[in-house]
Amino acid sequence: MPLLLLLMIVLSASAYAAPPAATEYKLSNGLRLIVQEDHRAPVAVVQVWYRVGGSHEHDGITGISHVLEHLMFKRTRHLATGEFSRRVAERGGTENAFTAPDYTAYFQQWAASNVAESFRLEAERMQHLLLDPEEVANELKVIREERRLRTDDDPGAAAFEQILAATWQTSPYRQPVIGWAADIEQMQLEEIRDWYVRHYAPNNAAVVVVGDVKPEALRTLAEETFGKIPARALPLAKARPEVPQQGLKRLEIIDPRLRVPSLMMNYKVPGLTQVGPGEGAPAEWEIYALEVLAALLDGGASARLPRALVRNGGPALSASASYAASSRLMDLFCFEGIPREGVSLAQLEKAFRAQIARVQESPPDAQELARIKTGVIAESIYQRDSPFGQAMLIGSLIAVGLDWRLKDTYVDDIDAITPAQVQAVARKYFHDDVATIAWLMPEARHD
Amino acid sequence: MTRLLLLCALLTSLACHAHPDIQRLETKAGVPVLFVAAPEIPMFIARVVFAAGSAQDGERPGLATLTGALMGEGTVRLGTDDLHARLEATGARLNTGVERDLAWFSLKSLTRRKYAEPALALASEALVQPRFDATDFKLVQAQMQASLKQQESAPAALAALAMESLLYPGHPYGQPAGGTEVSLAALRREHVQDFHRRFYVAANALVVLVGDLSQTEALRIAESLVGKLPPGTRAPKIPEVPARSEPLVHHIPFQSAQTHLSLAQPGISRHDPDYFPLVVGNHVLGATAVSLLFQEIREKRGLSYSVSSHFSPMAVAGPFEISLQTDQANTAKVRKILRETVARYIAEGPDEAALVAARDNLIGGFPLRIDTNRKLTDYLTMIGFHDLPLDWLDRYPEAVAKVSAQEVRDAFQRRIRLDTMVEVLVGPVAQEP
Repeated sequence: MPLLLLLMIVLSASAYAAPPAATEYKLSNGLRLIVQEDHRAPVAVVQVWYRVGGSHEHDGITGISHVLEHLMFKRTRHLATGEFSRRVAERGGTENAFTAPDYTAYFQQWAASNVAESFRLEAERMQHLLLDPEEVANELKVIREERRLRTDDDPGAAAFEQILAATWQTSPYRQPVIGWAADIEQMQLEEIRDWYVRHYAPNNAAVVVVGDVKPEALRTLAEETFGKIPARALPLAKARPEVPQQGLKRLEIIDPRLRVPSLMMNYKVPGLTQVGPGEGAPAEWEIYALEVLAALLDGGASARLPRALVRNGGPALSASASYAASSRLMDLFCFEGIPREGVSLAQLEKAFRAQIARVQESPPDAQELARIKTGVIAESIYQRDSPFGQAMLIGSLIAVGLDWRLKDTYVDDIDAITPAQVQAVARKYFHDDVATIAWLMPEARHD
Repeated sequence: MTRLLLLCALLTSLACHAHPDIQRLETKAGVPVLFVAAPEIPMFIARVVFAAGSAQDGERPGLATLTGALMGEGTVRLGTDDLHARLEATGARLNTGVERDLAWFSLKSLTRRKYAEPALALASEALVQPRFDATDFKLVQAQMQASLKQQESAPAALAALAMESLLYPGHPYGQPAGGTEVSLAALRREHVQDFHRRFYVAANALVVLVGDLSQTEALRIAESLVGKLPPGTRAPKIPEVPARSEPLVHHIPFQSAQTHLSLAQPGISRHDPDYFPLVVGNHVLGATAVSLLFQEIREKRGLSYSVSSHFSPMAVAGPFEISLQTDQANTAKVRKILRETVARYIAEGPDEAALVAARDNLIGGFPLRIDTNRKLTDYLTMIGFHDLPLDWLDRYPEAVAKVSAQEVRDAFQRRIRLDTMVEVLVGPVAQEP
C-alpha cells in the first residue's frame, strides 16, 4: 500500500469514538456513584472502590489492606459467615475483590435486577463488619498460603518484590501489596479493626455500576442503602514523597530458580496526579506524550521494541515497555527483557538504552505516530466490549483522585501529541538519576 | 435493539431463556460459518478455527504451537515488519491461539469499510500464504525453549506436565503441547510449512463471526478470509481415551515452600451423555467459593489459598482434575481431607439445598456467559467446532434445571473413580507418600 493511503486511514478521533454516556451522583455523606449504561445484555457489574491500599500502609503493618479485603467476606452484624457469598451465588452472581497499591475494590456481576441486592450487601459490610478472632486466625493462614503461592515459590515475583524495594527509597510503592511475610505473621486483630474503621467510610468510597440499568433509579437505591451510613473524618494521608535519587541504582538478583536471565530497567516518571501549575510540576501533555512513547516502543507488533530488539535477529527473546500514567503517586516507566542465548545482560541493556537514545535524538516520523494513534482509537472502541473493563477504568481513576471523565477525553489528548513532544519527554525524563537497573541471573557473573 | 432484552421480555420465568440468534451460513467452498449480529459497537471479531491443535503434533511435540505462533508473522509477499505495520495502520489486531483440539486465527477490526477492507485482505493473505520466515522460526523456537526452562522452576507447570503424561500415556493429549528440549531442537521450518499445508485447509476450517454486520456482510467477510484456502482434507479424529484401572501416585521432589497437589482422571467429552449431571455436580463439589472443597479446605481449615475441581470437556475425554497447594508441612493432612471429602461426595451425592443453589448459580449466571462479543466468540467456537446443536445455549438453562441429586450421585458413582485416579505431588521430599 502506498504511504499516502496509509496516512489517510488515520481516524478522526472524536467523531468515531464517541464514549458511552455515564452519570455521576454525590450523596450527602460523600459517597460517589457513577453509572454507565450498557443495554446489550440484561446484566450489570457493581464495583465498590475504597481509597485505601498497600501504599497507604506503613512499616510493620504491610499487607493489612489485603488482609481486610479477605475478611470482608466473613461475618457482619446482619450476615453470618458465608451468607454474603451464598446470596450472590444463588442468584447467579460472580463476585470477588482485589487490592492494589492505591485501592481496594469489591465487585459482583449478575442480572441487572440484582443491583439493589449488591447495594444492600455492600452497604452492610461497609459499616457492620465483625472480626471473629478464630476466623481472622484462619484467614491469616490462607493469606500465608497465598503469599507462598504467588511470591515465595515464584522466583520472578520474588525478584520483582526485591526490585521495587530497591527502586523506591521513601515512597510506599516499595512495599508489596500482599505484605512482608513477617508483617502478615504478626498481624493483630485490633490493627485490622482499626484499619477498617479508619478507611471504610462512605466518603472514602465510590460505587461504579456498568450495565443494563437506569442512573436515576440507582441514585434512589444508593440513597436508601449507602446514603444511610454517616460520613466519618478520614485519617490524614501524610505525603510520603520519594526523595531525589543521586545517580544510577543497580542491583543483581541471583537465584538458581531463575532458569533464564532477564533485565528490568525502572525510570521514575510523573503521571497525571503530578500534573499541576506548581513549579517543576509536569504539564498535562507530557503525560500523554509519555503514553505515546510507551506505545511507540511497545504498542503492538509493529512497535519499535519487537521490531528492533526481538525480531530480525535482535538481541532479545522478549522486550517490553510499560508506563503507569494514572497512579496515586509518582510511578514508573519500566522496561523488561529476556536476552537471547549468547547475549549478555550488559549487551541487552545497551540495546534498550540505544532505543531510548534514538527517541531522544530524533522525533518519530509522522507515519509511525499516525499508526500509534489509530491503534489507541481502535482500542478505545474494542474496550467497550467489556463492561467490567469500563467499570475498572472509571473506578481506578476515581480511586487515585483523578476525574473519571479523563477516560472520555483520552483519545483526543493522545491525538494532540506531536512528534516533537514525544522527543521532548524522552529527553526530559530518561536519565540515570531516576533509573534502577536490575539484572536477574541464575548464578553470579564470572567476570 | 439489545441482544437479550427483547426475548427476555417475552418470558416470565426466572430463568431467562434468551439466547443469541446464531446463524449458520456456509462459504462457497463449504466452510461452515457461525454468525451473531452485534450491532452496538462498530467492531467485529472474525475467527477462523482449525482442527490443528497440539493433538495433531504426532511425532513432533510443539509443532502445532510453533506453527500457530508464526501465523500472522509475514506473508510470502510481505515481510513480517511490513505486514504488522500495514495491519496496525488500520487499527486491526491479529491474534492466534493453539489449544489441544484446535487452533484459531482471529482478526479484530473496526467495521468501517476503509479500515475493514485492507485489514481483511492482509489477514487473508497471512492465513493462506504465510511467510514462515527462517529468522522468525528460529526466534519462536528459542522462545519456546526458554519457556520450557522457566517451567522447570514453576511447581504448578511441573505438576501439569506430569499429570498430562500420566493421564494420557500414548495418547495425543499426553504429549507436552510446548514440546520438549529434544523435540523443539529437531523442528525445522519445513515441518511448519507441512503442518500448515496439511491442517490449515478449507475442509478443516470453521469461521466464527460476531459483530456489527449484516448477514450478507458476514458471509462476504468469511469468503474473503477463507475463500482462497486450498480444499484439503479433515484432520484425523482424535482417538478415544482408555479408562484407567490402577491408582498412581507420582511425587516430583522440588524445593518449594508449598506442595502442589493434583488428583485427576480422564473426564468427559463435549458430547458426553453425563455432561450435565457431572458439570452441575462438580459445581457443588469444587467450582466456586461456596463449594464443598473450598469450604472444607480453605474456609474451615485455612489449608490452601486456591482449591478447586473442574471438568475440561474436549473432543474426547478431557481431564477431570482437583488441585490445590499447601504449606509442605500440611501435605499429609490435606491429602487425607481431600480424599475423604471427595469419597463422601461420591458416596452420598449433593445435599438438596446445595444442588438447588448450584443450579440457581449456573442458570442465573447464564446471561453473564454471553454478555460480550468476546465471550460469544468463544461459545460459537465451541458449538461450531464440536458440532453441538445451534440451540445449545438456548437449552442450557433447562438442561441444568432438570439435573437431580440422584442423577448427580449416580453419574459420579459411575464415572469418578477415586481408586484409579492419578495423584501428582510437587514439593519437598520429606512428604514422600
